[in-house]
Amino acid sequence: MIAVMDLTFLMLICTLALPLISFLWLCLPVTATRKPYLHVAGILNGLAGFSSLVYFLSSGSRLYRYASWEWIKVKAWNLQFGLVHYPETAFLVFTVSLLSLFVWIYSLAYLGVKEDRHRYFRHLSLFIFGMQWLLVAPGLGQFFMGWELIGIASYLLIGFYRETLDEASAASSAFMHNRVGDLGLLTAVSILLLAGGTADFTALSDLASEGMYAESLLVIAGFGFVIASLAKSAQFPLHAWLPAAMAGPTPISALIHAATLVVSGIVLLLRIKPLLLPIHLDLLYGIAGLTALMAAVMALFQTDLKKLLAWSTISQLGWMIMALSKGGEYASLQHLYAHAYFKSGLFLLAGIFILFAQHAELNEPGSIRGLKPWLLNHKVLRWSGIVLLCALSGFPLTAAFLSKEQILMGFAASHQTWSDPLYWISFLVPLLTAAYAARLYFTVFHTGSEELLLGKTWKATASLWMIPFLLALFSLFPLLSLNPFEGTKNWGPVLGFGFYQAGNPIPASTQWLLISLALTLSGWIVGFLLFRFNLQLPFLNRRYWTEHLQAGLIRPVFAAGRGFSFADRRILDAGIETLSRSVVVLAHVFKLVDRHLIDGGLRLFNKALYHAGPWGATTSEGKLQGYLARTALVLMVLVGLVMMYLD
Amino acid sequence: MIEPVHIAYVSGPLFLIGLAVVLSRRSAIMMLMGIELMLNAANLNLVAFSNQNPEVSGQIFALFVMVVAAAEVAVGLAILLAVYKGYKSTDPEKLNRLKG
Amino acid sequence: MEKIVLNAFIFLPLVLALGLIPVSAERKNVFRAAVVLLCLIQFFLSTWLWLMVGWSEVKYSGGFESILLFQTHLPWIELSLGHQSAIQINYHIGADASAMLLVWMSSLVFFVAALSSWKLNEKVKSYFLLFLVLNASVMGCFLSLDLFLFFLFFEFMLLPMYFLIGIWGGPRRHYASIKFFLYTLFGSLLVLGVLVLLLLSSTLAQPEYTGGVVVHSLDLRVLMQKGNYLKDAVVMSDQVLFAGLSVREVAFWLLSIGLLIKLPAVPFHTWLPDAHVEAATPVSVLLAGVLLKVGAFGLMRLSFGLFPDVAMANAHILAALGAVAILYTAWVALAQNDLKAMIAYASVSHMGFVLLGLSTGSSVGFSGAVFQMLSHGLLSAGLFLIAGVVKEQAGTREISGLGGLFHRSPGFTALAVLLFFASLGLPGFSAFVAEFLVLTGAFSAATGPLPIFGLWVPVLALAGLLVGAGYFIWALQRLFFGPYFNVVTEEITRFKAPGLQDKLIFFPLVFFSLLAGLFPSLWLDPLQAGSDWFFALMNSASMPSLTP
Repeated sequence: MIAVMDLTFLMLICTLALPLISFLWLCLPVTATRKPYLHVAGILNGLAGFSSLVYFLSSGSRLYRYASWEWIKVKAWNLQFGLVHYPETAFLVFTVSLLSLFVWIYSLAYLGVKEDRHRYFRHLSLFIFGMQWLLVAPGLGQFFMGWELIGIASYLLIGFYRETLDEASAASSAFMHNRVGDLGLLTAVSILLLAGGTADFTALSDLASEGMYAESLLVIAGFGFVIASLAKSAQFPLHAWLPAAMAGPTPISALIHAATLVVSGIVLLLRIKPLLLPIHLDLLYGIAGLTALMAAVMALFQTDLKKLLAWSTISQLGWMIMALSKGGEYASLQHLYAHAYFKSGLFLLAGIFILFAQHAELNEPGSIRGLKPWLLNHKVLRWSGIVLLCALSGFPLTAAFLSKEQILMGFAASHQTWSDPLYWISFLVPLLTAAYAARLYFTVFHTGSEELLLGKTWKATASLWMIPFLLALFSLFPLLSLNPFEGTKNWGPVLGFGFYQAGNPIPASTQWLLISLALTLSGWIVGFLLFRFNLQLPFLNRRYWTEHLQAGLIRPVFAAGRGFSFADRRILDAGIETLSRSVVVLAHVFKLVDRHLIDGGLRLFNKALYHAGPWGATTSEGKLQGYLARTALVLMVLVGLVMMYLD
Repeated sequence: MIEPVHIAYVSGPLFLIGLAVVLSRRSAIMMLMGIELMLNAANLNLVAFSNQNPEVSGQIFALFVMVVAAAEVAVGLAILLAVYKGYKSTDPEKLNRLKG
Repeated sequence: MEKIVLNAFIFLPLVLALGLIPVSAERKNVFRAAVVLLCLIQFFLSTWLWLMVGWSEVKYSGGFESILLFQTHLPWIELSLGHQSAIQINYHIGADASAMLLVWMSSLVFFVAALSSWKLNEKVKSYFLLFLVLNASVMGCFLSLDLFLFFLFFEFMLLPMYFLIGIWGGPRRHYASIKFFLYTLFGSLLVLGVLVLLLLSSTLAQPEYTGGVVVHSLDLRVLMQKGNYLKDAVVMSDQVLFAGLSVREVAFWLLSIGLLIKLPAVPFHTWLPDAHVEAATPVSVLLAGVLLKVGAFGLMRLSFGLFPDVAMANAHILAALGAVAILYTAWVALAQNDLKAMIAYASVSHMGFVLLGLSTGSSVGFSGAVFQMLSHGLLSAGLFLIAGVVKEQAGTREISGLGGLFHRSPGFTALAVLLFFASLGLPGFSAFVAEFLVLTGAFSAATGPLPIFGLWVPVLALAGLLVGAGYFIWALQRLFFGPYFNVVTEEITRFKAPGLQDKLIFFPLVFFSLLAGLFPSLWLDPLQAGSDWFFALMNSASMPSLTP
């Protein structure tokens, strides 16, 4: 069922097909050092970015199903493939394309001329396709496929360097955590499919609102969805993979682990929100809240730059999920977009710092600190960094400020009381966010020893510094709205339609503006104080938590595996072998019986016969009297018999 | 009245004595004597029972037996002489070269 | 025409084997080329057959007969037993969609195995002759509709396999081949016992219509109808034999155990790791790709098909066996250091899905089970080929003794990554479709007004999927990532990357798995009639409120 081919549809197809073609193109066995070969793929993705923009601008605010066809169909159920326009995530389609393009350009410079870098771009193309496939999915079937595809692409990309086992285990860890979520999603899909016969998003919400689903089914399915989103969006207890994933290339951390893959959990929640019961929402709120707080605290004391940003991402995602679970879809989406831009910008900036540290051969741990002298020569980087950190803190004039305000207002409007600790957390998180942003600023941008950096004159090339600069620009308020202090109008008046309109935007008020600003400023003060007094909590820095979690969970699993293997080989198999050995033993017993009893009897008989022979031979010994005696005996017997017979 | 069966009471044991002699004696000549006894016992029987009826064939048969006995003794003794020449003994136990 | 083709599947290999006997054993390439060509022909024939049937016209309409196609029915053995009874055995072959699908899959796996056997160098003639006999027997198993014939082929598979494992295998091959042979033979004997029982209980027509003459038969069409059993048939009786089980139930269990040994199901699976590890690569490919499916197919047709009431009454036990198999063997696979042993246990784990799917008694479960047979045949063949490449190039299969293979061959790594992810259930490949269908079937049987088994069964299966991902990822990580090392040899140059032709073998497997993953209806639609039959059979045998 394909709708009329109009421009939007065409652009959507291009947005999906071009990365796929790029992936297939890069699968061809041609050596990677041929630049034109690689750049063809880059151009394809660039075109995909352009088509995504056109698609976004022309798509409109109505959900529209462009195409759908059957995938798996058995009797009463089916899963479908298709291309659907969801107005609330249409901007995300564009964002994914745009950020991917930025990351592509950045990666070309970041990776340098590695021999097999086409592998990186191949997996990147796969990722882009997978993410877009997920975003246009008509139902849970295709959604799940995209979900898995981005999981695999993430695995392949984190493990790109393949030099040490660290990355490999990080990649495996990421995949396995995601797998747990996958199984939750699979359960939910199965159950819903059974009950309603469809996994289509619109159909699901229709059936849910009609009350078609039994309560118990919804509870189970909801838990499945919750687990899936927790795994993908790195919330407790499935959060350990994200800090570990920082072992992969930095551009990947920027794209996947800040802006796209991790938000797919939130996208899932958005799509199936009508199916979630209050118990699930409360669970999400609680877990996300605790995670947000914990992660923010972790970020505050991190010394590794990338790990800090990873924990920050976890915290922000948690905060977004909190907002979502309290009915703030609009706010959550806004923050999702803002966060995607500024966080990826921060990651890419960190990448530049890492490159500098490598080139400058700064070998101390946490050596990406104190770059002030160097940064003085890099005004653009400096300025980008400041803007991005302001965005992270939610300072006015940034897009994040608008979204933060919406979220806070959403919390306030959700009838919570101050006796609920989670309510405190929801306000504490932005404060702590601003705190670690400030601390980061002071540590990296405001300190630095001249002698350490003397003579290190590596400069970032244009394709490197341009990208964080652009992203810093995108982090400013025009992303979300023309009015820096009013987030609800967004681009509606200009474009003629309201995009990413989901849920209910709350009009800004001066009160909340001030509260928001206050939180930011106080956070900054806290951050500065922590920096000034150099408060460290080293134990938070080590890999305790992730390692212990994994050791606590994983080692027993492996030990159990070895136990089962032992049981299988030694006990079960040994049982079978004992059975067969007992058959052999029985065979030996039978052999004995056969040889000694049965055959023995025969031999005995044989012996008797053997000896009976000579005895019988005594009848013909040649002795006359013997013959005569026998003859007489026999005759007498015969005569007697005859006489008896005659009688 | 003498019944033939009374004679049988005599000739029977006589026969058996003759048989015993034949079977147990270590001398071939004694065996021949035993054979004579057996023959005579048989003769007695024959004559006794032929007395019963007017048939005279029993007595004729007894005459035949006597003749045969005489002939047989003569031949037997002749064989014995030859055997004694060769084996230096008339013990039947020792004369077992025809065994098997 | 199609009937001839169907018979050709069984007889062409045998004729070729006869024709190859006089060929001198020195001319190895003749054998190799002949067998590869035959397998290719078989594959084309089966594809042609599959495509040219108008599957939409084949609809289940109330009897097993209605889903069968291309039957050849020739009288074979007629034996009079005296006392007005006789046995009639026919040469009866034919196929329904699931049998056709399995024939198609087997022909592909045989082709791949024949290609992979090209490099074999000792006793080539015997090897390929045994290969051909195995081929014919397997095809015969899938195509026979008379149980006598089925059993004949079933037994016939054991002999070539015994030699194939025992001669061309690894260091412990004698042990492994004897174990395989005796264990599966034991199973066959159980099957034989029940077949005799069935034979004596069946009759072509009730004696009152034939003047008191009873003609026994083992034809499936006959056995599937209640009216073809004698009035006082032992196999139909409810008389309690022992342990509270009726004769019918005992027969079902004996039959099932015999077939479950072949499946293999826990706890009857211990022959498989040894057989797989010791067998040569192409033999492992055949064992995992084809032979296990015969067991599953037999279970479907015989156990479930002839004893549906007992099957449904005991479905919870079978489903539990399946779920436990999935999780337990996945877990054991996690602890294996030998790559082939890991893949062998993974095979058992995947076959557990087949058992689970069948025991849900739903058409979804049935489709999932048959699809899993297809998918697993393709993917496990690929996995064993990978293990074969590793052993051949690196000299060892020990996962702990290898590392960083990526550095030696990125192309091979990509292939391994692809196959490993496909096997663990990446959507877009066939394994996901199969597992999803089975899971849906399991959930449907576990929820609803009249559940067959508890929710813990699909939960165990899910946990098995998780552990399943675990061992694949873990093996990938240890084998391919990190710095290169190889305990067998110190030289850095060992592990020659497989060339293009070695990689080409994988192409048909990956291609069809991908095709089946993206367009499953190509195979699922034809299976519809079969799953309708299965569902109707199971449904009428048990409570009527199972959802389809």
